[in-house]
Amino acid sequence: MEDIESLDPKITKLPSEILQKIISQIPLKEAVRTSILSTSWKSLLAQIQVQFDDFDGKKIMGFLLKPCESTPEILKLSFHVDGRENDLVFHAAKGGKKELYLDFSLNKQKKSNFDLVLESNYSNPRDFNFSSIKTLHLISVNRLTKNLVSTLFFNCQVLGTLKLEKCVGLKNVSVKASTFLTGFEMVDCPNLESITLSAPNLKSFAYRGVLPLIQIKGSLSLVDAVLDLRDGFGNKEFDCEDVMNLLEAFKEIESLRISGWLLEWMCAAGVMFGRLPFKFSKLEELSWFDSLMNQTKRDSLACFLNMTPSLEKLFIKIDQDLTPINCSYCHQHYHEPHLWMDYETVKSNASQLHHLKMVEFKGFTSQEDELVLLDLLLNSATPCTLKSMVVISPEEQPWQVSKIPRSQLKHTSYGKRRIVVSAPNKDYFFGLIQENNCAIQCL
Amino acid sequence: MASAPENEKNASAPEKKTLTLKSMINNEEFVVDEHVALQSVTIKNMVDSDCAGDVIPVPTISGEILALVIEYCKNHANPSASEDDLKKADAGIVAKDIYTLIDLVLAANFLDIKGLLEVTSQKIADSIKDLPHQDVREIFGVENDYTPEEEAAVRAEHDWAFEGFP
Repeated sequence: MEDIESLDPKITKLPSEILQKIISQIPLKEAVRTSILSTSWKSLLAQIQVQFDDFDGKKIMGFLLKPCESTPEILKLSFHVDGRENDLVFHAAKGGKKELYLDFSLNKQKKSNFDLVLESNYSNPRDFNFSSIKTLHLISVNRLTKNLVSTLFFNCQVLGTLKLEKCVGLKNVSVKASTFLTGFEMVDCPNLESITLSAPNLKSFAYRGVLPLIQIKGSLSLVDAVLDLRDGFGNKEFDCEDVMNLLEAFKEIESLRISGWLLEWMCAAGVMFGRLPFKFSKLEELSWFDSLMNQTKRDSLACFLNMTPSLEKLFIKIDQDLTPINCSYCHQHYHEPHLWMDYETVKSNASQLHHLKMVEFKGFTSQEDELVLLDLLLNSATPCTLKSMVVISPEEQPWQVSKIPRSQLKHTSYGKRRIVVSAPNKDYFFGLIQENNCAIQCL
Repeated sequence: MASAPENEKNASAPEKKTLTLKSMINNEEFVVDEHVALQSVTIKNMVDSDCAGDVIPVPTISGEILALVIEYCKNHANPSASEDDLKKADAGIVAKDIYTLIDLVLAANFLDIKGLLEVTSQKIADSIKDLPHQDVREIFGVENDYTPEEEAAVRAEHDWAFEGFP
């Protein structure tokens, strides 16, 4: 008996119904990825091909809105619309967590511009195909499929998360959601000009792409926002007021990730963040990122920090893979043109950050402008509250930063794992101590 | 408020029956109140059809795993436990390494305890969803039987899911 057991490997093969149960409890994207493990794992997902002879909206809706059975479903749907060139073929996937993905990227349509209007049927609860879908992820929606998508959204009354991705040609999107929608995400829609969003209980807003006009109405419970404007300005012209209104809609948030160039552009247009009629009084976590650090970027960040009195964590990231955005272009000045001030003035204007606990600076290369920023932050933070200031080199090596007064320099030992760098005005030094990556294992 | 039921000598209450569960892997025995054990549909069926003796042998489940199963059943048989308490207790039971969880999910499946099956498979799902695929293959003893061409085809078919994935 014992012999048999010792032959038995530790790994027990689980029966497929348990594996299917596990897979259906993984978020859909990761669940679909398990199909790459082996052919037998691929077969755990239901692969369904459906062909409709006509474009019958009701039939299609019924099909898409039906929750999946025990295991995630991968669907390939094709519809014969009038004439071959309008035939529609697309991929869909349904997951156990009431997720639905629709991917229209197979459609090699001529890229024409379109607008998308998504309204949830919250007023007339009797007149719908009730759907329990909680997450809807739409990829490459186009002119031909926008109505299908609108009808789908109309029927998703309890939708919690909406994500729109890679919709080429999409110019204006307007979303009117029910009280269930808490998450909205939009990425990589290169022709986008405006987003109008009405979602009373929205908690999280994330955007990546070109700068569009973003109007968020009546979302008073927003907690976190991402404004990743890595693709710079789109086709639309902006004035500062539009962006200011957006920031005001975000004023109650606790966490913000923002492209550095946007702040730089606003400062260049004359915005002085500290003098605005509102503050980000609950903001605890700020992530600032850009392709480089220079004086105007640094000073605009310093200026922005004047409206974040509760800030606890500051993440700065220089990502050289990002395309630098040229901010010289500005149509209209908010007040008077901003005069970039000398460093001493910036420093004396900087508000104290009494709650700042940690600073993490990624992509740090010890350039003058970066050192000046560290000096500025050390100056604004309360020394006993600031627990950690870490700079991370592009090679991912972290260094803990400390302040060494000139008088103590002699007593400081340094070597391979310690570097001392003179502070900008030479009255003290930064001590950089290499963080030990394997600290826990060594103990 | 729940009073201590074991000291109660209420005439109308039927006498507490117990069952003994015995792991056939290491012969460990557990004495359990019947209503606790009956949360297992498999045991309930055995008791209902009168094919359960004094000692119910449980094949393929070790004493260690059986103890976890009984802990779960005891928690859920307590009528005064709040939903929050149960959630916390469940989280404690499944805070185990992946191999223990796999044994536990098999036990929950064999004994047919729906709630335990649910929380255990959810925990396994959470633990593996971000793991590198080679690690997942090792855990479940899966051999990658795709040719490089087939693998590329699977990826291409579900482009959206594999984007940014190594």
